[in-house]
Amino acid sequence: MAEYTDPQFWPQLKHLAATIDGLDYFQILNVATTAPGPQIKTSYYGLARALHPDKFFHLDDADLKAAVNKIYKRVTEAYMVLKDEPKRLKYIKDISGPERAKKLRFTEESEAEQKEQAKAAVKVAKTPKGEQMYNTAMVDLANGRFDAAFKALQSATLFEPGNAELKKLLAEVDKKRKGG
Amino acid sequence: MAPKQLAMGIDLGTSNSCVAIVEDGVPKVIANEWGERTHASVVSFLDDGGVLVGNDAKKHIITNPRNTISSAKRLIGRYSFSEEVKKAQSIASYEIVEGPNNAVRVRVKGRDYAVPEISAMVLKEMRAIVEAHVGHPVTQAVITVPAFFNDNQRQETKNAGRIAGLEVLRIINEPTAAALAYGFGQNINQKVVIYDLGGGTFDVSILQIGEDVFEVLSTSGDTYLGGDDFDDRIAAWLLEGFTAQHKVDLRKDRHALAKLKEAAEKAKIDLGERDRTRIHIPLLYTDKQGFSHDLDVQLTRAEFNKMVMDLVQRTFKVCDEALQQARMTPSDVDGVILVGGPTRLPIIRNSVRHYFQREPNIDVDPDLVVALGAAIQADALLDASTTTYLLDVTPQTLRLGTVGDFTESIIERNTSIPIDRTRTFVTARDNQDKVKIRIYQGESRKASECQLLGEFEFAGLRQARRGEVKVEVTFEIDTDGIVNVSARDIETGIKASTSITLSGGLSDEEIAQAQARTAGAEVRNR
Repeated sequence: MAEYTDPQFWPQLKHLAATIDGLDYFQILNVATTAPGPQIKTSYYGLARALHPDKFFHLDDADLKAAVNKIYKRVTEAYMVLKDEPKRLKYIKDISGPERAKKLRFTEESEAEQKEQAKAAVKVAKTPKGEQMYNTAMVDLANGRFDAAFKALQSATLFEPGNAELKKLLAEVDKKRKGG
Repeated sequence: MAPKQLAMGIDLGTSNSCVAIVEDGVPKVIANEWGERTHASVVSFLDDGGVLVGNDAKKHIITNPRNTISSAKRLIGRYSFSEEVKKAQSIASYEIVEGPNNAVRVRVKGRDYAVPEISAMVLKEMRAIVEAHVGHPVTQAVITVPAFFNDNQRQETKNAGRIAGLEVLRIINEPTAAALAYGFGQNINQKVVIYDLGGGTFDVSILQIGEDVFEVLSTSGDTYLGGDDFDDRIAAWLLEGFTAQHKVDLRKDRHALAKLKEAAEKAKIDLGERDRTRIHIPLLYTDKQGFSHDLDVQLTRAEFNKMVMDLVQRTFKVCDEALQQARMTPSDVDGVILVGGPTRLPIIRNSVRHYFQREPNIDVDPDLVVALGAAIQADALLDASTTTYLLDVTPQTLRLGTVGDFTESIIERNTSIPIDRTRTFVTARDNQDKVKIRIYQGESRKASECQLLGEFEFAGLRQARRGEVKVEVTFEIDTDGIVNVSARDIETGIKASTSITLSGGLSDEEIAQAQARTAGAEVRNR
């Protein structure tokens, strides 16, 4: 059976390493976006058998080894994201949008942003009901429905009358509502 | 010259070390010329300038405590201000001092040794055992470390190998090596738990073995928990009893403490085989009237079990964590493999059986299994027809220091390796020519609760207004679990020069010096 360690494949591997930044994780693991977990794992194991840096360890070509290392690290990265359902769904959304080229790698920034967003949501409202109304208001706000956002925030302040941050936000939305 | 390249697998343990090679396709542990297959990780500096390593050196713990170094692994890759080092300073029979850059040094006869220099002497002994067996030089090795070891500890272990004149092909995790030895040549598809209680560390790894692929699903550990702690409990109990009986305080008497510790270890091993043991130390203490007193007591297994119950329970807290990280419950496990001498204790075996609701697997000697796995990996690396693939994970979250005492995660724990992540930094001042970052490993957002790995400085940035220079920093965790950091200017693509400005580790220069020093040291065969 042909193996990637065979010199005839080396130019191909070096080319793949040089161009891998343009591939998404599904292309790297060679699976469909709908592939179930076990299939992702099977593909990962297959690529490990073919491309694990250990397989190339005994060879002397440093460029080839660097190329294989680069490819294999990206295989690992793809597996870590795609095996995790929430990450996989977010990733599909990211690469389906207009910023696809920028989002081919599941970056820490997007993870940090996620955390920031989650934190912000929790931070502003302190009660479960308040948080629910606040979240509704955020969705309305994002879609330009200022009146609805105002009403939702007003309800939120009913649950949390002492929340200064909510009141400030309410005043801002009120301004926007009247201004627009 | 041998027909085929040969590389050895070394289990460099806290208490004992072991070396193995693959011969004619079969992994085997190599014994020294006295037939011993495990060797105390002890180095003793003799009065005539010679150095003893191994089981004979261990005998000198009592007769020559100041100049006999044991459990160096507890100190490797740690800063002098760490808890573990402070604890070791208070109990060790030898002198531990602070070196440059908060490093740890061991002072023997007025000379300071870096911890990897001591480990290198043990590694050299392992190398000598293999060379005596095969009859030619062997310089390549795979060395194992506890799965929970951080980057500093791995780096320094690798440095120890270099000082010993070895080309370290790979650093692999002890539980993973054990799984390799178990699964070797067997066509199994199983989820296995490796319960690895060594002399000074405890690790749990959960692996999915898919024929030739060994995927670590999660790993967790405690680098402050091991069989030594069990000995300490017995020693403390002995000391307390003796103190009460003879109204004498032996806590300052290092000689007596060493004897107690030795007796405690022997008692622990005895209790693995029988229900009670007699602990007899002749002439432990001579009183002011010149009368000598023996220590002579009985210890039952039940009493011992009570003494160490909390230690045993701590291991299962770690198991809980590993299972949770792998999103499994004990019932999802197909097999449990015991690794490390202390797992011979009935209390451990019974507790493991109870926790996992299955009989643990003890087919391979728990003292030898790690070295065997390391030898299999060493052989696989040199062989074009590699047949096993290790897919390991990073044990602790890699973090970047931000502002104040805070950090943010870059690579989460239990992420498969090798892997890399990049972060972009923007200059904050006009004409800023360098960027400094600190990286940590640990699970807390607070820097002070994590292990500092080092401080990196990227210099030679181009002169520009603030915010114009974007530096892309790549954090790589390689197949050894070692962290590599590099940076480049995004616009120009030029690599920034990188220097480590804070680290307890050895520089290349220091390693070269140590190499020269230990090459000259005369290692004695009894």
